Amino acid sequence: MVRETVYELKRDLSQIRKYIKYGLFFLVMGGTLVLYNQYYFKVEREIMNLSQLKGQLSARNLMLKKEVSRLSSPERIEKIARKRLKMKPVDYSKVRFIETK
Amino acid sequence: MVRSKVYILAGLIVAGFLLVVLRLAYFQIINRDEFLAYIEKQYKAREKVILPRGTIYDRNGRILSISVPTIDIFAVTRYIKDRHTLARELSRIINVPYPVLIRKLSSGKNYVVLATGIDKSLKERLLNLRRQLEEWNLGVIESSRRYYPLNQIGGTTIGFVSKVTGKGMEGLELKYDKKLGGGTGDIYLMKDALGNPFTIEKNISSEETFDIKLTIDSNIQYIAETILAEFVRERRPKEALILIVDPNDGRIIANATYPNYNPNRYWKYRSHRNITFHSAYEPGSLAKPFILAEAVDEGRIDLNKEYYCGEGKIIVDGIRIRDHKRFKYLTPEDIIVFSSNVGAIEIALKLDPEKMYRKLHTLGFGSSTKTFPGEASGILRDDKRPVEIAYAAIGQNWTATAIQIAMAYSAIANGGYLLKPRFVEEFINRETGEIIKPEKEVIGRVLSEKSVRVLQEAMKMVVERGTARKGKSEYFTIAGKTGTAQKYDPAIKALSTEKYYTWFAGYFPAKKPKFTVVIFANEPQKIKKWERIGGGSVSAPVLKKLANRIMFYYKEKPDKNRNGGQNGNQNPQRN
Repeated sequence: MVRETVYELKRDLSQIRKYIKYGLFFLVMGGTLVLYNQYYFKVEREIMNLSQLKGQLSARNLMLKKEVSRLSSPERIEKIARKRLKMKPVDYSKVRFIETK
Repeated sequence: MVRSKVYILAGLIVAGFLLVVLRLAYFQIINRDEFLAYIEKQYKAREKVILPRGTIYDRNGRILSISVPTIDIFAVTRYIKDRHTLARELSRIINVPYPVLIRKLSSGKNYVVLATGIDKSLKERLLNLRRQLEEWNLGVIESSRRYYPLNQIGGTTIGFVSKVTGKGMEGLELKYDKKLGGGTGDIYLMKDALGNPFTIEKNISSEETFDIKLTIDSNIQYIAETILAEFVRERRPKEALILIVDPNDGRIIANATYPNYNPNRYWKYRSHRNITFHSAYEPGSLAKPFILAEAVDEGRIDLNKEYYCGEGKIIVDGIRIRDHKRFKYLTPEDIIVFSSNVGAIEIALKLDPEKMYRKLHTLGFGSSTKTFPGEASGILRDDKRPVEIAYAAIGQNWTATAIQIAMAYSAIANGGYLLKPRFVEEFINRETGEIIKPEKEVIGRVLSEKSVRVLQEAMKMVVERGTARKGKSEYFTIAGKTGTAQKYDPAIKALSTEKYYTWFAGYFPAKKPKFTVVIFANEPQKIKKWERIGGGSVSAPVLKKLANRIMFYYKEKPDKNRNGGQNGNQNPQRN
């Protein structure tokens, strides 16, 4: 009984061996595809991270631009000039123009 | 035996796949729409977000209007595990009261907008909170908010963007709405198969948008607004404005108006009018130089002859029109210098009425310059009855906007050419960086060389020794004309002797004009009881401060010596 089963398995194996090269071919192809996929997802994640970073940096850039505009407002500068630096509006009688040749 | 087993196994596998394929075909082909609708209803929600618009810069590159990135916070309420904790923690981060958040979270709606326009720098903290509380149905979506860093400086000119629709509602934001882009875009919020956050699908059209560099100089704008604010404090008019234009190319450099508003809080103001463009007023004596120009062109007057000025009154068609002083004889130049009503009427009555009105129309009066949204045209009817011609000559019974006045006076300054006013220096493509520069637009020659020469000389004298002498600068030559128009008073059904429009229109430096200025006030009040309200006493004094400050800002050397005469190219000051 056992011998018969072993004999049957051997016959099955010899049948399977005929197709093993195809199996190996599909296995290698599958493996390659899996590896490629992993690489693809890794690159995609990197692109996503970089786009996110770009978005964050552009947002920060805009916020900084907004802040620069607010800080350089003529109203604010005049207030600082008058109050902190005790400056006075121009009086042309005290302005001297220097001729350049 | 073995072969048959393999065939059976293979058959079973193929049958299995076939079943899956058939089932997929059922879902994706046969009942596709039904299932899509089901998914849309169950898992998707559409929301509008405000899209960023192009930035508006002044001519020096300073930002006047910018879309700053913000975030909106959403939640799918039925999947929120602990509303109270979420509301409490969220309230700490975004500074929205706890009761407001808990009310929204308990509203029973499928999804709710918890807060909009939140500073984007809080995004990381919010995402951390979501991770900590494992509230995956709390969503953060990027949006934008329009911000005006200079607040009310140039507010009525720049206008504002609706915080609901993201579209321009007033001013240049409205005029260039399409170029700036913005508005709202649809986003779809969707819970994915793993129950993780939202996947967001954007449905935003990608049209070409531009940043805009204006001709406005925010420093000059600020100078004009400061001087106007002082004037308003002193005279308490209903409305007032200072408009500054480059007479050589039509660029609008500053436009200060009262009332003004801060576009960052536009909803707090009742009126968003920009009186420079939206309102037309009677120009009063500002019309007289154009009557003189027509008389010169028609050859109806002798510039050296003195004309009788009625000693304070003239009767036309049985109607008595008064002068502000009892002038006897004046030359045409002095009629302008001292602004004699009777003298101007005498000249106007000598003219061909058709040609006189044509002159006013060609100068741009009666039609909008189409520079600003909702711009007024003013009213100029070609009524040829002598009394109407008389009133037209002294700027009564017809109206003009401040921008029309500025462009007509710019024509005197630039040698007779009417230009189209403009606000835009450059359009900058936001994608490609390509720059489009609008060209200077000359509408046509509207004043002859001879009349320009006569007017330029007369207008210089107006400031030196005439009605605008209170506006005379010690350092710069200024040319211009004052104007006073009586307002119609419905109570007495006649022209009021108490309520006036006061004007000054002119340019400086008189020799090489760089700036055309219009200064206007509606119903300015007297400072002293005995004072007489008029363009000379009210509007002209503003001019001196304005000219000195602007010219210093541009580091211009005075063109006058200390004795008051012109200095040419010499340095007026001792070194």
